[in-house]
Amino acid sequence: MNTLKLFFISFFLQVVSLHNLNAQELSLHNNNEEIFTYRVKQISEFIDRFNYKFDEEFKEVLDNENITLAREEAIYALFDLEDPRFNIENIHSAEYATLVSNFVSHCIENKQYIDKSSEYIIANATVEATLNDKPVDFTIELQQENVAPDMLKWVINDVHGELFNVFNEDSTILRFLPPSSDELDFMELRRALKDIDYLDQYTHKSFEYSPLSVMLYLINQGILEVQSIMDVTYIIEDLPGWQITVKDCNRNMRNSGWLITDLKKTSLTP
Amino acid sequence: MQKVIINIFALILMFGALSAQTKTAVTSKEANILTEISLSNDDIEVFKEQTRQKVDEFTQHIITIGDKDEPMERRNLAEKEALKLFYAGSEMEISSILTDGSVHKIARPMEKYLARLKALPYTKVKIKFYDIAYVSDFTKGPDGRYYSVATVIQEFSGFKGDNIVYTDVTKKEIEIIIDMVEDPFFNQKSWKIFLGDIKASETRASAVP
Repeated sequence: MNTLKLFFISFFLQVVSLHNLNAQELSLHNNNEEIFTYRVKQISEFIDRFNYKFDEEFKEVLDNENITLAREEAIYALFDLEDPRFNIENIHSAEYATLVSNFVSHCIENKQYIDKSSEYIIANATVEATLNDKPVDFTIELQQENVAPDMLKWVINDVHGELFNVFNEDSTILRFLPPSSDELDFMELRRALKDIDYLDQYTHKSFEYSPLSVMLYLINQGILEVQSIMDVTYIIEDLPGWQITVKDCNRNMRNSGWLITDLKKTSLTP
Repeated sequence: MQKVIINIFALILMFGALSAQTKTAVTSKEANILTEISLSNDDIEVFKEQTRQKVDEFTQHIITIGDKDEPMERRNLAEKEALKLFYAGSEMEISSILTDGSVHKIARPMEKYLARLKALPYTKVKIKFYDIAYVSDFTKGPDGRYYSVATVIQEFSGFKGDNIVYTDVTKKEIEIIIDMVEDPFFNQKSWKIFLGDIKASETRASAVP
């Protein structure tokens, strides 16, 4: 309970110092520059602020407002404070607040930092595309790959979407090519390959269906055409035992830009 | 900055077919050469400062191009000068929020974007950029070039007569590329800053009344 109490005290400090000035800010148009300075403008700035590294302009604004931001507060300020789970009246608040509080304490006590070039930073890009000229959407998963010690590139890791869920599961019917097929010149094959929803069941036991290969094929054949990338969400698993989701919270207030919209405990260790 | 200027005449001969390249695909030969050459941290800091100047230069050109009170000759010149700042093939992707809340995106070659900016159907256009720009750290890519992103905010107002008929605030993410280019006069290769693709997104108004 103490942890929870501490969290709320800290949270309200955030609300007072960083967040709830919104109403007056919005009425003053020329304060937009100030909001822009507070805004977490890029994912790299998110990582910098998480790692307690501020750019000169942000430091200047903090100095001007006599705000000394401890690392703990800096991390709290990276959460999406508009998340309904931060509303005390919400019945689920206590659970999430405790989780956030534990996470922040863990990061401070164990001096946890995010490595900008980590392969445990996954970007999920939502894609708008056309499949045979009909609109479809799916998600392309990307991650950073170290080409050399000081060189990076982003690579496509996987792809997710209804479009790629082509096979059904069915344990009630056993599908196979019988042992006698060879003697019949595999004439069963024609029938098997018409069983379009279960084609994978006729393959060897170590076969793994690869949606990514399918996407590449469809694009290569001109069947699938990517139109635009609608939004990007980052899943950061670079902090042992934790998974954070970071999204661009596009709004005109200090607590905006790339912020933590979800937090999970995991068993993964980078 | 002298350190940055590298005399490598022999390399000049090896750099060929540049025009056929894009930002996502370069010849292996060129990539191999560039990966061998690295900028020092001090050089990178200098380039970071220069990036701010380049971005300022670009935003000034945007203001001039859009300003219908400026003579057309000056606006045309600004358009031409603005294009010189960009890497070949750079695009501007604009996303706007529709009345139903959905987001519409459209990408145009930079040339087309600037030409359209000049011909907007308003009697007067006011464009203002905030004084501050956020520039991320440079990271070396597999092609040996250095990449960063600068974020700026633009306020746009379109007038019909004395009345504002359209206004928006957009966040512009400008890709920054440090590439090695040849100076044919001095037979030298030196690192130079280019602007790359730009992602412009309308900033969403708060739900707070």
